[in-house]
Amino acid sequence: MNKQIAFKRLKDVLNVDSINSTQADFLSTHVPFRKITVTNDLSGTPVSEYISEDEVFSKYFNNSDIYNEHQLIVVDGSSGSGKSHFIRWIEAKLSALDVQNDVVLMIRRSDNTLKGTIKQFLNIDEVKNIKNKDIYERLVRANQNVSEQKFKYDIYHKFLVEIEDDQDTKLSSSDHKNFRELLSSSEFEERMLMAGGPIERIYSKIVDSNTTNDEDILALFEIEDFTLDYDFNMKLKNNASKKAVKMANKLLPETDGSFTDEECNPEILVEYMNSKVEPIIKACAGLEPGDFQQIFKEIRQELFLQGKNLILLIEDITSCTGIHRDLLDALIVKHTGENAKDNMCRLVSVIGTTTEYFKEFRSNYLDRITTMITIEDGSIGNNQDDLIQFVAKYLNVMSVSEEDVKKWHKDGALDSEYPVHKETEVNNWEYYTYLGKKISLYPFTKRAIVNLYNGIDVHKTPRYIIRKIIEPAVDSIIQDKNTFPKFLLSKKPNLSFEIVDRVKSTITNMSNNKEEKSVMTDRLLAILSYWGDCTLDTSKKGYLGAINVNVFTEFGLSDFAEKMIGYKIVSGKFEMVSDVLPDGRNDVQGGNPNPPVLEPIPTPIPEPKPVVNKAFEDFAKILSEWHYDKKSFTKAYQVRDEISKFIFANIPWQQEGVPLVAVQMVEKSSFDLVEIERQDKKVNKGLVLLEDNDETYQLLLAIGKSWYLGKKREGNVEYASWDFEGSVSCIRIATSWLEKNKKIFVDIVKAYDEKEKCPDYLKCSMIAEVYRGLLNGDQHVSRVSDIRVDTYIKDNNLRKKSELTGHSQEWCDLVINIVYANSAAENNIDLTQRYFNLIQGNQKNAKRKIINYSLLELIFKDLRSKSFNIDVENLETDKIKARNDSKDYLKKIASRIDKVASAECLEGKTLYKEVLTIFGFPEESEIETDDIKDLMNEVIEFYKDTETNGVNVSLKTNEAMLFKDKGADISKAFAVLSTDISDMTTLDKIILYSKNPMQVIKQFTGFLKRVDEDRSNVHSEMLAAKEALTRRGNWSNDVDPRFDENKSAFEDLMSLLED
Amino acid sequence: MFDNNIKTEPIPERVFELCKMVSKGDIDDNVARERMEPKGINPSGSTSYYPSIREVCVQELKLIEKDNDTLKFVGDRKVLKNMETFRLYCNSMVFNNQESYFYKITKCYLEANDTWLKYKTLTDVNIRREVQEKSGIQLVNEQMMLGSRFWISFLGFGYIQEGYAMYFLPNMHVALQDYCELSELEKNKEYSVSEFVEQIRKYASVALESIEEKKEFNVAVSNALRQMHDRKEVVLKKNLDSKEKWKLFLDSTHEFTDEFTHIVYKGVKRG
Repeated sequence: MNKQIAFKRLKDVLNVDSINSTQADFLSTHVPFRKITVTNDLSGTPVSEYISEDEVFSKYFNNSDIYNEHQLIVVDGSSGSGKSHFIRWIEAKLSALDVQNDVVLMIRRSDNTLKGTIKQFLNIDEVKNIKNKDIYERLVRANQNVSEQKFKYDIYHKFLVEIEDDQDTKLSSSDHKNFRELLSSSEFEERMLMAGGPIERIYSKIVDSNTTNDEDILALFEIEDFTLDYDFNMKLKNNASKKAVKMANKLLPETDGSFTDEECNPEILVEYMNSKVEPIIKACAGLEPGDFQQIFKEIRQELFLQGKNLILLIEDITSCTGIHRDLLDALIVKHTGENAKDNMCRLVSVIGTTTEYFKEFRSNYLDRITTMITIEDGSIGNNQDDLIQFVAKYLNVMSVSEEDVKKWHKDGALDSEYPVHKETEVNNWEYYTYLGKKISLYPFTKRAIVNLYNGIDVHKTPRYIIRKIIEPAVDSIIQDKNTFPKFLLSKKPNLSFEIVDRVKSTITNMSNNKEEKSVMTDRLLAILSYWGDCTLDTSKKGYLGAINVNVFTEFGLSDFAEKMIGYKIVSGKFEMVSDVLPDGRNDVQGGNPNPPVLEPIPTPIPEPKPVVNKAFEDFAKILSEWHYDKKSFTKAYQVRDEISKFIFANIPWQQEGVPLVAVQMVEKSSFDLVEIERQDKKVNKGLVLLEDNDETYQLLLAIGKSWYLGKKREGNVEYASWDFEGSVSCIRIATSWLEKNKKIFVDIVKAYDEKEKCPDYLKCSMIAEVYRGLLNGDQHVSRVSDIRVDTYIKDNNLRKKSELTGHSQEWCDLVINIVYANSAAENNIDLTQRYFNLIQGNQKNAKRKIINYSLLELIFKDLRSKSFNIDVENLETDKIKARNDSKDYLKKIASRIDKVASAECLEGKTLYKEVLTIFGFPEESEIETDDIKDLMNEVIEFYKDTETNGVNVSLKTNEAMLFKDKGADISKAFAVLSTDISDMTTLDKIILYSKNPMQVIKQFTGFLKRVDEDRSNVHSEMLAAKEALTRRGNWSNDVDPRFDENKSAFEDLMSLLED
Repeated sequence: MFDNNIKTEPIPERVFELCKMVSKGDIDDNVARERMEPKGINPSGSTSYYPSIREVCVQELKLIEKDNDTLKFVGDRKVLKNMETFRLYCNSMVFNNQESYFYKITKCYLEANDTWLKYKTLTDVNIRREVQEKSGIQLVNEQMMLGSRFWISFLGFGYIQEGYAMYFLPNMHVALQDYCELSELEKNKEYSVSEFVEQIRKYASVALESIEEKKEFNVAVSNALRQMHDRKEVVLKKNLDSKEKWKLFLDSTHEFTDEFTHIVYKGVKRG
């Protein structure tokens, strides 16, 4: 390469469609066609023969014997066979011939719109004075001021009109009506008019566009245009008529892609609509039937007048939409015979057409076609030597000055004088030998050319070889060879996973910065993929992966190569022999126009893949498309889930300070532990997002292998294993990844940050247990500081629900309906105990509890120092549902606890006042143990008197004795009730009443009430007896005379006894 | 536990916890036992768990002394700063006796390379038979394999993947980090592999013992060296003119697929 010249010439030499591309450049880059079949007498007995391109030229274009004959030559060949190139070559040869009496007009594919074509005719120098030229030019300029959008609407509505009036349709009457309705709906109209849609395609064929069409876009409807989808039909259903919807439903494919109605489906409709395209294009362009033929006739007449003939070369008639029928009709018109009176010039026309399109008009024009030339070379790349020669010539011509090439052309374009550039970039680069001359292939190698050609996805035509390979490569090397090959950097490497991993691993360990490493990786993957044999083989001295190490040096990648080969590449000693190609052919002499056998280019075979597993290969494809093409992560959800399992199963959680109960919570959660970037299901349902980067890609591959290649089955259970070839590197990748990312998962599962000692759910659980113990009365404390850590590890039987009599209704409700509802209390303490259990192995629900006492004590003391206070209302709801259980439990308790404490205290105060009344003490008095004892003594005395006096009451002396003994407890309980609670916290109040003082007092007051009833009864009885006595006696001055009578009788009786 | 009667109960976390509890002050053995294994929540009564945990602390790690019924911490409290310092200490202690069962079994774990990956569990009879034959231990029961696994994982020889199946994934990056630190390798010095092996052998003999003759590292060490290289804790080198070449277990995806000759120690990076 001569960079200086190439920099200037690159665009011109490679601009294949440009009319500026010189004939000299064209001929100097032309690679001869090898296999051309010429057939004559198509309508009679066709005779075919294989001849060289030069023979074709001399026989049909440079043959004085047939100079005056009308010729219609069809150049036929499959897509990409080089028809256009052949026609261009004829044009170049004609120009080199310097024909005086012939006007040569080439209608290029890039300028083949209806108006463009007419314009090219009118631009021929010789027809400047043609009559009616003004009218024709106005025709060409028509519609130029109409806006694009309006013009497109016009086109669409012309279709509607055309169909409305159509009587000749194959469609049934109802389908025809329905189809019209569908076309009339605004939704469908929008669809047809959208960018890249059929109307835009047709529009571009009407408007005289100067833009170059790279793609062979046909102005036709396609099946996809009429294949609808569910969403569209739903939209239509809401807005369009029933008929339109009925038609739309026929255009909805079944799951297997078929359609229900064989007589009305997208294929039928496409055929129908396409039959209207040509008349509509003409109508839109303002041309009437016969217009084109008239113009063409007048041009020929004008040329005839000037004594000239016309050679018309049409690169591709297929793309001359709108006029191809008219054009063909014009081309078959001879200047002799009955037409001689029209005084038209002789016409030799050459039309390029695809085989497929040719079939369409073949039968109608068969007897008018004088010669058919079939290019059977197939694509240029089908022959390895041609391909390399093709690239070599382009590389050469762009490095040869324009003057030198023109001079060569002017001197007859002789092969023997073919100019070859001097390589200025590097010495001794790989070369191609053409007619004994060495053409440097810099920056390619033969292998690179072949591999890059194989790497072109579609259209392996010369144009694409230029556009996709030569141009970007040369551009890249001219711009900066240290970023070469820039055009391949975004391409998926054609390398095995192992090679990609090894390259990345090696580069990771180099000293460059991150961005440099990333670029270097992409460059190396591209070089190894295309310049090499897709390996890192170092067995051949001086080569790495079949690439001469000097190539790495030239592209600034010697550090990598040296790491691989293990020695320094000696700079300055640049030796590069011509590479041996995969098929063993090497250094074929170019320039032989008729090699006997076509040698196909083998598809490069990457390193043999040890993996033969369809499922894995499918997965690898999905993964590759996800990573390299940025598509969705789809289908391979089992692998994502296996990553979660791998993480759960491999992190030694307890050693990381994470209890197994915490792990279980996450494992059982509805959230996945990991989510893959761009996964198309369960989006935002993962706890950790694994971004699309090389690390994740490698991890997915490693785990994917353990699933697809290592999968084992036991009964109905399938599980991943590491029992497969190459598992060691997968283990390294997976374990290294885990070690690097462990903290992220540990933090997620731990659910607390550095500032805290434990997660909120544990705090809530432990606090709730304290409340539970206090409310249930099994927490025997008088102040917060009395609460001990042992409360969590005491016998669980001691936590059973207690007898609550004595407490306020609110207190009882809380305990019964919340604290102990549905085993809530049991579950809560279970959580705390499991949190501190140091489990051996994987038994997350282990019954045996070996407590991490130090941690329990640490957390407990922290909670106690904060009086078991937590801002429970403001705790965030956790994604992991199980982590909310204890929070919700505590929240329910906390939301009622203030009211419960107030109600309990109020009832206590009321009770206290009641008792004071019983005692007859003034308000705010204290009731001491002695007061209780005195009162009980009185009660005892009372019952004694009743007994003495034979009053019939149930004696409560023993009970009174018991209360007397419990005097101290009762007075303590009184003291509780009398406590000033105005400055107390809720927890203090709960602690105050946790021993249920009201139960003691209520029992005591109950007893007193019953005694009082007895007293009252006795008193009533006494009064009644007195009353009875009173009523029966003869009282005088409060003395009943019966007393004296009885006394006298008694005394008489006594004296008798004494005697 | 490490010497002969390998048990499952004294897992590293429990041993660490007991050491921590005692390190706060002398404590009655019964109190310590009640704290670790409270009767209240273990209604089926006390077990042999606690004594076996205490045994490791007292006899094997020599961090606690039992004086009648009183437990005293006799080690360096810095050892208990966290699990890492504790592991480093353990790595300096548990392999001192090359005749211990734990040493012999660990050696088998490491020398097995990838051959045990075909078995569903580490207690598979084929594995145990292999260990029995290689170690010379008369009977290798399931408990010994299961008990060993906790410490092999804890000491950083690899991962024990415990899911539906139980695998040992060999990668002793963490242990090798410890041995590099314990061996006080000189930073930025280029060692030949022989020199490197010689330097760390005192602590890492369990992983190196059988490799020197063939000059071929096992999977656990190979993966560890590659990981250290990738983390720039060491730089592996392949000097083609070097007489002596050491083999790594083949890994075609890494820069160093199979051979290397020198190693430059750059320093361990934790976390």
